[in-house]
Order: sequence, then structure tokens, then C-alpha cells
Amino acid sequence: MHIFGGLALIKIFFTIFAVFAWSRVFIRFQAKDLNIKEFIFWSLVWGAMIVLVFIPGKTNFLAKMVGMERGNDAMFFLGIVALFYATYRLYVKINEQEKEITRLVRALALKNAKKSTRKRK
Amino acid sequence: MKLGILIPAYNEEKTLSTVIKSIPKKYPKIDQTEIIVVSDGSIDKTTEIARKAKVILIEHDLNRGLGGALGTGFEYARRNDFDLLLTFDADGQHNQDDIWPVLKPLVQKKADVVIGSRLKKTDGMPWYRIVGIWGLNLITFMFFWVWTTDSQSGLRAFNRKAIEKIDIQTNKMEVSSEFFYEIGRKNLRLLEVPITSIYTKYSLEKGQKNINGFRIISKLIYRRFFSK
Repeated sequence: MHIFGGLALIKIFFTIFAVFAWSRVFIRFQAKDLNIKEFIFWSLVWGAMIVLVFIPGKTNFLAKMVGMERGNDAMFFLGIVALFYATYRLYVKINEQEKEITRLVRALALKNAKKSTRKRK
Repeated sequence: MKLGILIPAYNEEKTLSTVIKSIPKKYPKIDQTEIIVVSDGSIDKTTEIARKAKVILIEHDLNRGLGGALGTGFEYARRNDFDLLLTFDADGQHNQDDIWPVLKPLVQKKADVVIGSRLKKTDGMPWYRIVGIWGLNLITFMFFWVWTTDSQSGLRAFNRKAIEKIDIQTNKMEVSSEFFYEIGRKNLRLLEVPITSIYTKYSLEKGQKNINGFRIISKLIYRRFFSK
């Protein structure tokens, strides 16, 4: 659906989202959770996102660099790769965390087992 | 020699007491037998039952699964100088007469690990259970290159060398296959002896479902290729 002559609704939603995301970055910068370098980096990232949404065909040259015809294809491809990588990181992290919890439960259990044998004596 | 009989128990109030009473404590060449119950975060009367029986009770505050409980038992055995460790299920599916045949090759120093295999005589075992176990035997072989006729058996025995070398990292049912990984890569001598299993409605319900196989495969892949 297009309003304002060629302005897709999705572009508006995306812009609102990007501004919202940037506002989170700004709040964290003010709270001193982020330093100035990180703040500039994330501002550029979200700024670039908005620019890319509004200039038609701007990602095509990036796509051609990696051997694909259209910017959209490259975006989907990279998006899927990034998701796979994120899933893999989560998979490893959760498994390692499970092991850590077991180690903790085990250490506690063995400590208490010793106490109860001492009492019996 | 000092023998530990390790019973991992998660909500087994119905069978635990009978199982503990059924286990004989005297075996040839073994001077001391201790029963070690690991209550794996049980929320029923399992812990109380174990406390009343004269056994060593180790309590997990949270449920960690079969692998977690067995790992704790192994750690206890390492710290307290056990020469032999035998794992025995709490659901009442094992026959106490099979304990000595499983221990004997270790006492005679013919093996480091003995597995009681239920698939050498399959009387009374439901067909779908046989299919499930064979599937997991194949998977165990594909991942770890150790062939066994019963990769999922709960009746196993280990000598001191095996107790010290086996490092259990998985948390749930996949531990049964992980044992074979450790046996293979730590060059432990493996022997299988036939055992009978008592299949009751209760033990079948408590046991693994074949669908669980997918979860086990995923965890074994992690253990084989990703684990630190």
C-alpha cells in the first residue's frame, strides 16, 4: 500500500522502529552504559538504515559486489546467515550454561553429602 | 575392594525402597558395599525413603537429569576411593541376580567396564523398545565408533581406572551413549554380559520414549563436535 506518492507504509514503520532503536541507544549513552565511540557507531548504524530504506536501488551496487543482482536478495541472504550464526551462538551458550548449572548443583550436593556422613559418626 | 552401587533416582517413591532392599551386599572378594542414592531434585518421598534406608544419600537441589545424577555419583566415588562402581536403575527393571555376573569380569580383571545387555535375551521386551534401542545403538556407533548391543542399559559396572577416566558432561538420557564415547577414547576394555529386565507397566512408563531419540541425537552432536 502506498501513500504520499510512492511512500510505502513499511518504510514508515521501519523509520519509526529505527528512531525507537536509536532512542534506546541515546538513553543508554546518557546513563553512561555506552561510551561516545559506541554511541557514534550505533547512531551511524541506525542512521544508515533509514537512508538505505529511502534511497531506491542503493543496495544494488553492494549486492553486485558480492555477486548478486538485487539488493533485496543480498539483504535476505545476509539476514539468514546472521540468524543462523545467532542460533548457533545461542545453542553453544545454552549447552554450556546447562553444564555450569549441573556443576553447581553437583558441588552443593557433594558438600552436603559430606556433612550428613559426619553427623552419622 | 570397596564397591559402590549407584542408584540415580528422580521421583521413584513407588519402587526405590523395594529396589534398595533387594540389593545383596555381600559379593566374593568385596569387603565393603555401599549403596549411593542420588536423589535428582525429587519432589515426592524419594529423599525420605533413602534417608530411612541405610544408604549414602546425595541430594540435587534441582533436577538435572540422568547424566547429571550419574556424574555426581562418579565424582563421589572418585573422592571417596571406591574400587568398583555399579549403576542400578531405581525403577525396578533390573534383577538383583544380574549384579554379580556384571561385577565378576571386573573382579577377575578381564575388563574395565561391563555393560549388562538386555538385548542378548529379549524375552518380554516390547518390540518398539527393541527398535528404539537398536536405533540408538547405531547412532552411538556412528558418533563414537564403539559397537554395543545395548547402548541404553542402566546396569553397568566400572573399575577404578574407568571411574577415574570417565568424564560425564551430558545431563539427560544421552549419557548412556556418552559412556561409550568415553570408553572408546580413553581405551577402556569393554565387555557385555546378558541380563534380564523386568518390564512392568511402571518401568515402561518411566522409561524413554522413542521420540526422545531426536533430542538425544542433538545432544550427542553437541557432545561430539562442540563441547569444550
